[in-house]
Amino acid sequence: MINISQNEVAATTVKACRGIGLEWGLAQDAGHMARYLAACDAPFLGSLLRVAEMIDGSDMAPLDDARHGRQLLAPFCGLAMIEWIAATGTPWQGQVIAPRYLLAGLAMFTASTEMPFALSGDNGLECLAAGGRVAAPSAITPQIWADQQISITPMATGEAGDTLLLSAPRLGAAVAVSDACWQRLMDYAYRTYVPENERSRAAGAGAGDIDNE
Amino acid sequence: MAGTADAKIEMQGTLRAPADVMRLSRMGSFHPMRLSFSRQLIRRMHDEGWQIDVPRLDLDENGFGVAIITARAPAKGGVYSLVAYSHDLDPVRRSDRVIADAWDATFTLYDGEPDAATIAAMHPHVSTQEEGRHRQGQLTLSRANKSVRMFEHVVGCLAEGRQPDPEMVNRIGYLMRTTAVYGNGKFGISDRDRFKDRDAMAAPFMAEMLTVYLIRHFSLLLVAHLARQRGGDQAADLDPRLARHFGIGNATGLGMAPFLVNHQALLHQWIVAREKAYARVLEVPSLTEAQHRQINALIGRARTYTAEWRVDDKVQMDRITRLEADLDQLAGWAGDESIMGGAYPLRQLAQKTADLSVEAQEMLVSIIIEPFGALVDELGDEMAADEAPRFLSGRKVADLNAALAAHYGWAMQIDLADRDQSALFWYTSAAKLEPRLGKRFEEDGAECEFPFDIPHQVQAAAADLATAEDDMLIADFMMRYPQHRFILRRVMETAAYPYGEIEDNLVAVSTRPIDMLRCKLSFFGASKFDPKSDLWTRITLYQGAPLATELADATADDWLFPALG
Repeated sequence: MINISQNEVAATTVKACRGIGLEWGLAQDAGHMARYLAACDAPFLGSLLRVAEMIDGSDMAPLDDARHGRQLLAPFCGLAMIEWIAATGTPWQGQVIAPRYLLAGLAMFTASTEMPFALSGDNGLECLAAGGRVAAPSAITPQIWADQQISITPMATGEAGDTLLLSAPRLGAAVAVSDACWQRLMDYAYRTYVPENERSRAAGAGAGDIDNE
Repeated sequence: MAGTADAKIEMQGTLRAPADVMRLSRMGSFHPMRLSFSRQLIRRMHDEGWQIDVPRLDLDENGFGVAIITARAPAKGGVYSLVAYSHDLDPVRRSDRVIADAWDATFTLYDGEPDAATIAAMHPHVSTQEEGRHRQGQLTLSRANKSVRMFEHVVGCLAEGRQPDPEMVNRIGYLMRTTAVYGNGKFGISDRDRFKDRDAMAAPFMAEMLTVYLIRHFSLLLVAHLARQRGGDQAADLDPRLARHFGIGNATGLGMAPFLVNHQALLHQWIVAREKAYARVLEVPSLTEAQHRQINALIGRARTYTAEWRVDDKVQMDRITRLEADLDQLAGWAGDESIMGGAYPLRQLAQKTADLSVEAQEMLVSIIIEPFGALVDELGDEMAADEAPRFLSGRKVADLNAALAAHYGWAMQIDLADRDQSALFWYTSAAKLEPRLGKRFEEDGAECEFPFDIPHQVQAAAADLATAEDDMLIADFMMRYPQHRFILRRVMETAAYPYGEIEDNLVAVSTRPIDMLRCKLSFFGASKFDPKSDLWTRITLYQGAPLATELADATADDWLFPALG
């Protein structure tokens, strides 16, 4: 395992998402959600890598798919979809991949707005998100984190209960991740770096080579 | 002259518009000021009675080894320890490039007091900087090289019982030069979020500023140690006046520039605090004699500082020459009782500078806010920002169009058919993992560019917005046009934080990244900007600042525009 900072989680996620061809705005969303999950000490890396592999090299248009209720790749499109549902007041239903990211998005969104959301999934995921908290009505089982059909409904009122699906974020706490998984994310991020050429080598990023004072 | 209490008054004037302030030509003319972060830190250390001590100084006869320098804030303010590892560096490996892999000294600012085992465990990691993995207890990571000629000169003189040459001290201005000071989670060190709620660390870059201040103290301890090793009993102590004039040098390249683009809300908070301070002092109805005297003294100090500010860069040297002439004029106006003895004297003085250089106008900002701590220092508390994502639900295309019209007219007017407007691209170098600036039509890699082509994105988004109904929801528009999600969020962020966007095309052939560096460095409190190209600059931090033993002195906050004279 390797300890990384939350800033590293966010920054590397954004770069990795760019590395697989995601638009800048969606890549930033992914960085925010990954960081939030990391702050909650929730698993974020495995599902992110899995979704990255799904989209890498494909001609998928993830936001189009989400909008038409086909499939929501939550690490990339979760925040955009939540914003859209909140703005239009329209319930949404479809297959959600990596739903933990959707919950992270809901926690972030409801922390700064007054609109609660109800979620209902066919794999046992039932919860209400309000005031930055996402809670289930009763005890939870591990399978609720699996990909599943989920309906998301904006609510007029509601209050999240005590069975939290995401713990309160611990800002700034270090995150322990698998070296191998982190390296895979870094490999995607590395695609956004530009190899040196003669000119860039000569021009450099700045300071001179030798201290002469 | 009618007396006015140095107390807070309601701001009546208006701030200078973002269209005037957020231009690179002006941002690249900023000077240090009393709201600069190094000034805020020293003021806090003075006000709160911080103590600096050196619990460990294990250096051999060549100055190699380990030193611990501890800063103690009173009560629950915290204890912070600079852990310094001093290395035997082969001179051929001494490089200012951020990509160097060995240094004269490496540092970390540790949260608390590390025990011997922790100091030993951190050694291999801190010594290799980016190659190491670091721990939560580390707030920053840094390294520095000796300014070889200066360092040797000072050690040699002190060893012989003499003082170093003041001219040389003034010309170089530092004993060591940092090449990077990392914070906020880099390479596994602590995220700022973990400690930002402490009063002492609430302002931006406080951990980094404290690190550099303690490195300066280390550099002075190191020359004293070596002088004693070499000269024994005949070694002299460094004259405090000269010691005070040693800051810490820094070589800053492109790595710093993207920060200003990536942190809109934060940049806004910095700029708006400065603009509010300026606006507040312009509304001071009259000056006390003491305030008038202080302004005249500060102009005098600025003239000496400028006369001593000599650089090789022709563009900057021309600006300095013009600044000297402008300061002569300014001194004349500041001594004119018909201006300074009348109503709203600082507003009158500022209006006089309309035809002076931008360098002079911005130096005046630093000068005239200096005597008014009681009026402006509280603005330092507003310079941090909440950078959590903000959401646009409920906002409509009409809001976007209004924001574009209000804040991006400059971007809409640029003729993007002109290749010069697209000549550059910003990217990360694979070899060095550092930001670089490429030439789009000559080099590969533009597909990996940062989204800094703001006018291009604005115009592309505006073209698609033109096809949308005004009452369409932004969230709906962004679902249909995900390629615009980044810029549209940015536009709405600018509507909330109008001083958060640089109103120049950052990919135009005419862009001088050095202007971005200088803006940011001025907020750190850097002085003696010494551009070495359009891409990097040398600066000095903490030149003139009180020594660790002087933090309690009444003059501890009086070090704007330091000059040996």
